[in-house]
Amino acid sequence: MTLHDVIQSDASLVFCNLSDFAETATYITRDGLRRCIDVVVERQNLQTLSEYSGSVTPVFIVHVANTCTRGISSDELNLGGDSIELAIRVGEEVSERTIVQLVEHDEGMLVLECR
Amino acid sequence: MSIGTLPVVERIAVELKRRLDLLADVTNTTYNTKVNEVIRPNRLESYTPKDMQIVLTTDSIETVPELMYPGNPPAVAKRVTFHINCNVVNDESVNEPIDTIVHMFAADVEQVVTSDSSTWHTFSNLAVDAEFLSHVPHSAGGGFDGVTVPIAITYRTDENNPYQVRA
Repeated sequence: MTLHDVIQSDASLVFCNLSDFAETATYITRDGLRRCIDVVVERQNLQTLSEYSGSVTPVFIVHVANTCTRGISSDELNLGGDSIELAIRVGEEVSERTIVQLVEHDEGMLVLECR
Repeated sequence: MSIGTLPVVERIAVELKRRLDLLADVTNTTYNTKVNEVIRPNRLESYTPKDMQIVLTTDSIETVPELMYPGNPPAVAKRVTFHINCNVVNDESVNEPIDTIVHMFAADVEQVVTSDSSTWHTFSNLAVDAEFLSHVPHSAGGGFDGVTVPIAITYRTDENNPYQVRA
């Protein structure tokens, strides 16, 4: 097993372990296809959407494995309408949140900003 | 709450949204831009940016001393600025320049707001003047783009009754 394989394996089995910090969410492609994924979510304070928008929205930083099984692969991600169903507050009903930015990524993980 | 019980500024907002909603009408064949939704955010701003979405917000309300006039009660003039935020979250594979989409979006917003008649600027006899201000493009790290189209609307009310329109 190469280091590359270990990174990919750890991303799913260690970092996105549902027994630890990860939770299950639904990834929705722009075309409407839905898939369950395991994610670690940082729920941040409301932030302005843009300087002149006059409005703020919730911010989610989502860590997800770079895989097309229980994660999102970097080559399938479309920043033109893909979204993830997330609860604004833990325990609340989930709602669809658009993926607005690929903050960073490597072979193992993607870090996404959803609003 | 019926519309008759709303302050003049809110009735103007309702009329502005009604006009913008025409872009979201599924039967719309007049405008190039097909809008998915027009929203006015709630306090917790729980909406999410979407493709072809309009988010209507109120910016400032300032007094306009030169347009006030005396009486009993006097008429006070105010200018409210609404921000018409046009969000575009188009497919990564689309080759059309984002500027083209944004320009058409902004143009259709101006056209639909002014389409009623030569008296569009009165917003159904609620205002005395209206003008579009400079457009402000916005971008969020590749996730979504768009433009804010501000519109300043001047209206008069009784000094002691913001619900009552004055000519």
